[in-house]
Amino acid sequence: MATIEELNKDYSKENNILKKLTSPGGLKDKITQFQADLDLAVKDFKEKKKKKEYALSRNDRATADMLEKDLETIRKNVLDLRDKIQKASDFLANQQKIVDEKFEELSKDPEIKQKLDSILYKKYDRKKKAELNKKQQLETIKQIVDAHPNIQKWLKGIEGYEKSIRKCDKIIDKYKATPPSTPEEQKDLSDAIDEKNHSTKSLADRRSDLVDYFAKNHPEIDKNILENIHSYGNIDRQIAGCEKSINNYDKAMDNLSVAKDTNVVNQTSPSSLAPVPAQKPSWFHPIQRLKYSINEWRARRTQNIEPNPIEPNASAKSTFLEDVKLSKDEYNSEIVQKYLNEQYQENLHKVARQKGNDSNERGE
Amino acid sequence: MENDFINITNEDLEKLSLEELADLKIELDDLVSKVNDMLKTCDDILNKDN
Repeated sequence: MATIEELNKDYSKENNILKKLTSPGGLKDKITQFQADLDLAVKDFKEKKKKKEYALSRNDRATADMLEKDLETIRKNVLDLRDKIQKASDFLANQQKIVDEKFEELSKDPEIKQKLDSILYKKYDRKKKAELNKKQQLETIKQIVDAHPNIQKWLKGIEGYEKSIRKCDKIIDKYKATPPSTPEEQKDLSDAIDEKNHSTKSLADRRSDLVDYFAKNHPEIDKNILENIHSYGNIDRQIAGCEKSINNYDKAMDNLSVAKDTNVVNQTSPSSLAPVPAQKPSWFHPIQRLKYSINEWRARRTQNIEPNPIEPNASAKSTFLEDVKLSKDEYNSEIVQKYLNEQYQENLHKVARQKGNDSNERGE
Repeated sequence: MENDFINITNEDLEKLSLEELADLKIELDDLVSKVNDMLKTCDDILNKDN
């Protein structure tokens, strides 16, 4: 008979698919590495291309040709990288297909589908909130960096040292496969090891400068976010990545059968997550703004409601107007007029009820 | 690369709870989206007209 330890080992083995995917050195890590390599290649490519265009504009053919050679080298590196990414993509697509088929199979049972959709909705919602929070922090970091030349220097340093470490790693890897045989090759390897050591130490120093500055002056900024910034341009790319993820989660949530279930929405507003200030989207439609104002006004009115009934009079309208500051058009809009009529009728009923109560009390 | 990482089988999935299955799906969807974006970036660079 299997012991508890054996059962536990088996269970862990069978349930660690996600861990394998996301653990250090796992596929997710590799993809992050590919992304960083690609970002550097894109940056180099853009810089060299601009320089080439400038050289051409000055009829400096020699420089332009030299830069074109550099661009070709970058393209070759990107092609190699693309092969690796394509392999990861094929592999992931295959794994995704297996998981999606399992979902389809399970979803044939409406009860399980409901449960699965509800779980997915909650998880997407949580991830979306985390991405919103990350995006907001990155935007704050960007504002701070823009205002502080020293931080810009540290980021420049981080970018340079990381680039140097990558370059040295390539040389070291090359000699791992084929050990150096000539004195020049031995020196090449030795220089790469020295440079890597120096860059690694300097990188740690600059990273520490960055993290310490924020810990002291902006402790609300998550240390993990700071540790994953690789350059100034990387901040914008990460913000764009957050926006893409948020859109993806929104789309995924819209496709779930529970998307309009308000109970689920209420359950999935985790107060434990870092607070993200409510943002009114730029497309906030005038009518929605109006409804929003009316709801706010109603909420305030409920809190401050007088214990005694108010006689229906014009002051109700002026209070409303003062509170929500409606324009003339908004005031005359159907929704506001409907609301005012409702209030008027409601007050009439209240007064009638109160009068009825008073006469009953007097009759007793 | 396939040998270095996970290789999910239907039997593996049978043993996962719905929560774990959902986590796996979300993680895979995220990675697939990321990888597709990267492929597009590579193609932009490799396109000589760019």
